[in-house]
Amino acid sequence: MPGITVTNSAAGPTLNVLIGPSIPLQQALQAAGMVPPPPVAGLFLVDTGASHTVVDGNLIRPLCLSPTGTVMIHTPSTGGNAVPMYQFDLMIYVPGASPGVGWLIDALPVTASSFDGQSIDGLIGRDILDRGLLVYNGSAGHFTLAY
Amino acid sequence: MATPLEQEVRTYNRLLPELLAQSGRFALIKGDHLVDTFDSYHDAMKRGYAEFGLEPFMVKLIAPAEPVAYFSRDLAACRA
Repeated sequence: MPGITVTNSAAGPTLNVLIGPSIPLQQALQAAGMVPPPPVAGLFLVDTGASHTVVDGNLIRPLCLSPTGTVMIHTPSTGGNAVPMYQFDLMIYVPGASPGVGWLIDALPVTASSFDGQSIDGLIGRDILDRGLLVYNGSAGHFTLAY
Repeated sequence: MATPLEQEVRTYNRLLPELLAQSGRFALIKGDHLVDTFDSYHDAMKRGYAEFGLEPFMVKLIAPAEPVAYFSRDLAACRA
């Protein structure tokens, strides 16, 4: 099982990941004679308190994606009620310890939000973590994500 | 003016009683039409792009109750 060990940043257990249109969407764009936008990099917090992965809207806006789904969400400020939010079809790539051994999630429905002022560009939620193994070593100040 | 996927959400809700026999699968919906259901999200998206290209369509997990995503931190609205 390949994996990476990363030192915690000031924001916590964070990872530099690449996001872009999902692989099926990239194929559709190419079939339509269009060039898929290149992936963009962002700093994502590994968040076991998030059931789903979330991306800052500023990161996906340049990708010009249309929503492909909706999901009801609960947060501390939704007052006990779930509210609907759009989902976007994204590819997420977590670079590995060496080139070519990263973790590719080729298509994932992802919610967009704003992380202005939070030093992160998104959350890696349990929809991704459920596919791998997370070991958080707080005393050593690092974590390992195996996939 | 209709918001994105408004019609597809209505279609899903209208068809849900019939779709419940396929709980756990993913429904591909375009406008007021159910295209098909699929074992995986990936397969549903692939068919959606193959059939509709870059036109709007919706893929939704079929479930008896609307699945809810939980977050321990606040998220700013990009609401549907």
